[in-house]
Amino acid sequence: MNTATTLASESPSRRPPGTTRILVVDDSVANRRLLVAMIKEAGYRALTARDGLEAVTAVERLQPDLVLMDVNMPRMDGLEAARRIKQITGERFTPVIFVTGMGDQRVQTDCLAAGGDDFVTKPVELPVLQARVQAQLRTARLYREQYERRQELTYYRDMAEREQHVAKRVFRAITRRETLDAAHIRYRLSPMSTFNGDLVLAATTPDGNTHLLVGDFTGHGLAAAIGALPASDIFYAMSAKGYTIGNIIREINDRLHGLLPVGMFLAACGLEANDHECMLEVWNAGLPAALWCRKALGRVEPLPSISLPLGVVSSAELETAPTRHILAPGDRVLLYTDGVTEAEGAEGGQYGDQRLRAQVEALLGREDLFDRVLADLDAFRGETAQTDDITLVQFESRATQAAGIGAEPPREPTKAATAPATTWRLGLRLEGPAFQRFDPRPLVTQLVMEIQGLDPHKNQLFTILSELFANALDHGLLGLDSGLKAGPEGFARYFAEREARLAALKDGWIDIHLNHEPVGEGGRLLLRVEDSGPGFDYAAHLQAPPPGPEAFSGRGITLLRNLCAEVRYEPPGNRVQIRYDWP
Amino acid sequence: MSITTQETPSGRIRIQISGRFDFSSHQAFSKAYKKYSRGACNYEVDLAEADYLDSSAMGMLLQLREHSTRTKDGVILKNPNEGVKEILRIANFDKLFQVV
Repeated sequence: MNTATTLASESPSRRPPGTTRILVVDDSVANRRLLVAMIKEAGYRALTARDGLEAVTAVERLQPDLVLMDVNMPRMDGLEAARRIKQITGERFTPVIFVTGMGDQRVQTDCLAAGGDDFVTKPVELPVLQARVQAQLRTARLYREQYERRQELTYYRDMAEREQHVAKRVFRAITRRETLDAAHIRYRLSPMSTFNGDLVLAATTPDGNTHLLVGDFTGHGLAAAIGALPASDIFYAMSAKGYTIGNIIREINDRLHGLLPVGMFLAACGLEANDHECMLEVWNAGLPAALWCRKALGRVEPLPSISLPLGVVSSAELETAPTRHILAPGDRVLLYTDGVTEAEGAEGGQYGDQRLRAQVEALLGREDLFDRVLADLDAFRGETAQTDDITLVQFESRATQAAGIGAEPPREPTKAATAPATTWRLGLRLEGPAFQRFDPRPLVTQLVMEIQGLDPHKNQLFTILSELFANALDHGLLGLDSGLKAGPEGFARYFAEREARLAALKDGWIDIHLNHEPVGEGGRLLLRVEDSGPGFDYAAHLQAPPPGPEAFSGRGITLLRNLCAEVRYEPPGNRVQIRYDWP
Repeated sequence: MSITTQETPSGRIRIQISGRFDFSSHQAFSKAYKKYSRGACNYEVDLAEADYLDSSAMGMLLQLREHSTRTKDGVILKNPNEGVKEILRIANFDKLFQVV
């Protein structure tokens, strides 16, 4: 329903010409007749009232366009009637013209004070009356049109506010998940308007890694925020399935490239933190350099942008690669949008990279670094109006020990319904070069979820598959030595070598085989992974004591033994089978 | 902010920008190149006098790139100052545009 139209059609000012109604108020029959005759002569319709009281009632009931008012009348005089009429009509302006005696200045002043808009003196002459009435009707028309515009504007503003309110709730539900409230992530989002062109997304992967993505769409407000919906959808869906942050960034890039008009894009920085191995992987695509706060070393290291923003070119053309780092306990990473460094100060100038960097360096050892940086930014800005969305996010490493030791194993299975156990088998063989662009882990895990509904066990199964698959690929096919991981720069060296060998991989294969059958109340899953590599001395590995907190490698097998009912290697060590029992 | 257009001896369209290059330049900037038909010309954007550039301006440069011949030298960005150069670098625009 369109209320604005309804409202306009009822208004006196929209009546067709010739139907303008003028209320004549006079206690003298002769005067009334004379005035009514003149009004009809001038082309208007006339209504009459015999005193002030009748006039007030007539205005209430008939809503005339103008009132011609005598001053002295029985029961209620013209002055009092004018006061009441003005009160009743309020914003719906109805002019009152008094008909007064000649030259009586005091009465004329009283008439204006009572709310009269004009007066004509007796004896009334037609041309004078006509001119005065026309002038007042013109004013009334302008007044009413303005009033209606205002009503319409109020209506549309209220409607827009309501719609925004609803949209904002939907928007929040899609872009905000509870992981953001995890203790190791702090953030402040200050959108310039209702909708934020900046974006902060955080999720935990099935194997317990943290995914974090901070983004800044071109511009601000609703136009900028709209791209946040597909981006967050992809982020949460893929994180939950165990895809890597690299996969997610490429997928978001491709979706935005297809979706956004040319000239709109997302500057973003994604990171994946593996507390288990203290690994940090950073993909900075167009965001200002993230600040890696290395507490133990007492220095801040910038992690600069290494690629085009997302949505500009297709992923095939997007030349991007992550940087990898080892996190020490207490290390933090600050991510921010240019709204921070370009914030205008109360005394002019911009906050700037240098001031931010100096603040972070000075506060490096402090627990409240994040709050203090925010306080400094607020102090700098004072009451200055915001010119862009401002976002600052802090990620803190949950690694509790020296590099290389697992923080916490995946959580215990949660209680949730699974499908009744059935018997099924699943086999997959992939040749070496396939792994350059395909990661089978999320897909295989998803298949198991679809077939058996083992959602409560998803994290465990994904972790088991990850360990087995990583061993088969890294050691079996790529022939990498875990010893490479030793030393502070070891992980970086290991991953660089891994990438080089993977790119050059031409031969080899990996076999993944799953075999499931019902047992008792639940089921038994056998997962076998075999590779074409030469195998390894598993017996020595199995007999070795568990790795100490300083070890850089060797945790995989310990982890597997914790998660599985049985882990069995077969000679020459290129084939391993685990047993996983549920409920 | 002001924008002027001229044809260089080598047949490129030179767009000169001075002052802040941001969203408020949008109309003037697209008017500057839309009088040449799409895909017909190569452009150079002279940023010598531009003292600031924001992400909307980068978006406009991408639109210009679409409008140009879309070859490697479809759009050349000339003489950016240090601040502007840094903004282009963060976005890695040197991968899409020749910056000289």
